[in-house]
Amino acid sequence: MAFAVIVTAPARAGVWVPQMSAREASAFWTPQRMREARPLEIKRSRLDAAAASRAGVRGRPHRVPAELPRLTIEASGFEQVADPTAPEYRINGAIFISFGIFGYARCSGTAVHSGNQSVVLTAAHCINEGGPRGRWLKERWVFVPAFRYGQRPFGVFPARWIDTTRQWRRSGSENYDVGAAVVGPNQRGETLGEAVGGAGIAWNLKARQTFDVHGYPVEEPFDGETQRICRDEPFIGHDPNSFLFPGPLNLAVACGVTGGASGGGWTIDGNTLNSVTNYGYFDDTSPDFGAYFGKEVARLYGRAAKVK
Amino acid sequence: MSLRLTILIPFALAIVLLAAPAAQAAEAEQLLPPLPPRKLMTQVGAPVPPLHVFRSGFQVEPSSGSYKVGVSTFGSAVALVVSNQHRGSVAETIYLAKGVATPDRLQATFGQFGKVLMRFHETSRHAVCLGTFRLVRHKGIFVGNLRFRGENGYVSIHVHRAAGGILEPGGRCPRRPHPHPRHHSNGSNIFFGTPSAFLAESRHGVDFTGLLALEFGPISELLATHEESRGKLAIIRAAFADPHKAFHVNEAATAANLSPPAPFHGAGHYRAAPDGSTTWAGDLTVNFPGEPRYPLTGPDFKTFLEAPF
Repeated sequence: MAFAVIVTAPARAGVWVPQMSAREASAFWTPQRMREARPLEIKRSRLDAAAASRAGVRGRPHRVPAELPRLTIEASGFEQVADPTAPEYRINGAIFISFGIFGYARCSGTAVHSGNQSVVLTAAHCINEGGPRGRWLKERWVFVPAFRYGQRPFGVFPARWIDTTRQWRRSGSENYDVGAAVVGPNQRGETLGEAVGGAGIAWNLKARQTFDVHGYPVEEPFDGETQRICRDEPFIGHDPNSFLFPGPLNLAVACGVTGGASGGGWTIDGNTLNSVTNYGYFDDTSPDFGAYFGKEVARLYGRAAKVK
Repeated sequence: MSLRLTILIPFALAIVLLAAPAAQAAEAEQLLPPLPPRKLMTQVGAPVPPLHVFRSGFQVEPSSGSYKVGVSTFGSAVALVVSNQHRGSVAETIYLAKGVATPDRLQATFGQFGKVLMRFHETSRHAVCLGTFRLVRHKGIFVGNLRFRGENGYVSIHVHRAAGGILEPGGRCPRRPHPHPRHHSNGSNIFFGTPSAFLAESRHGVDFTGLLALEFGPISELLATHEESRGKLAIIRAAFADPHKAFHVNEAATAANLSPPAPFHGAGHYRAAPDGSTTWAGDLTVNFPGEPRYPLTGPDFKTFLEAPF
């Protein structure tokens, strides 16, 4: 009798996503299903205060250069991007996830420059529910750069591998709400980097930066069909709640994004990713809160960039 | 983006959820400063230290003034709590800073106000059971340096030693039936009938101010909070009072009046017009430690009123 031994691909962290070709993904994610996808919410869990005190933030500032033109600053305000396929905007996209019979969810994400040309950064809660019992959200997870009105001008990139900061999975702390996916090629066989390029990424910088906030907000007054941007938004402080959670204090900017923009990139200097949208409050959707990019995010990026 | 909702019913639920464990724990942790009640106003299921997480700290009384000053771990932060209790009302200001918040070491800098570096030296320990939770209570002395001076010097303290304690989880206790039904605290009474509830909240950037008033029968409960962050420091102010008949809602739910006692002052008036517009006006203020006469009315506040039929 022969025994078949199934060996999953080795992964020290993160999980491999069931194989799905871009063609299959594109066929599944019809415009109708994309419209039905609802924004993902953070699921809360109790915190491990002991883990909190072990979490440090120190490290030297570091930048990975971008693989795209620098965004030129125009007017301020939360506005629709006129042409999301333009080189400086096409790195931003919408993320769609299936929950089977429970429907569909969506987030935002950013293509980031890496050796494998396939890394997408987003919010951790768009990848894993968080905490020790958090489930991986890996069913039909796709990234659609420059998404607009159901169009996929650069194709659909299905996830092959997903991961979050380890502290997100350990404690569910929103201060570590950053996730990454490594995506497969699109229908034309292009890698994400070949198709749209990638933002640079920086970590361990000072909190006081000026950000461009990108995303695909779904909830009113938006509809999720267009890419949006808040330009030139200065850091305005930390959420007092952030002090209670393990990890580096989060960042706030005055940008009135709504649900669906989770995971949308915050760029500095036009093309360098330095945070992602995590949450806001119903009583006032401005400010928008995003995670600080420290050493945990650097490690996450490093793991994703090494995936073959 | 995940949007958080601030609504009335979860607030009421949160009061019960927080009141019960806090009251239980208080029996065993008199050496520690009180748990901040602030989370009532922002979200439910918040990281108020549960019984399965250690808490460590001490409490001292400055030689002058009416405040108590405590330092303790709170989640992943170090909290310096300045509190003032008077006839059932509580006003407190919590200075939260990231630092070292381990059971035997409290270290943090509270911006311009001061800093703490204290280490714990145990003198005794014993286990207590709170329901099925076993807590190990360590008594001892915190030794080091605490220097703190509040806004405009409303409280000032400089100590090198303070009696304190650590509460940490120690497994499970066997469940024992109670011989007599327990008397419920006031906090549980809010489910005796449907309460009227009024919420006023205002947010400016990362700063938040909220006022919650509940009325169930003759009992009123009021909670005001203000949260702000100043660089690496968060300041949470809270005031609580449970006076009789300080909150009135009319039959039509078109008007409500609040006139609570100290630490509140003045009165607030809510009016709802037939076209759906509302006003929230008056001279209602609250005395938070370090922030006297903080205004709780005005056009910046969004208001919500729920009244039973």
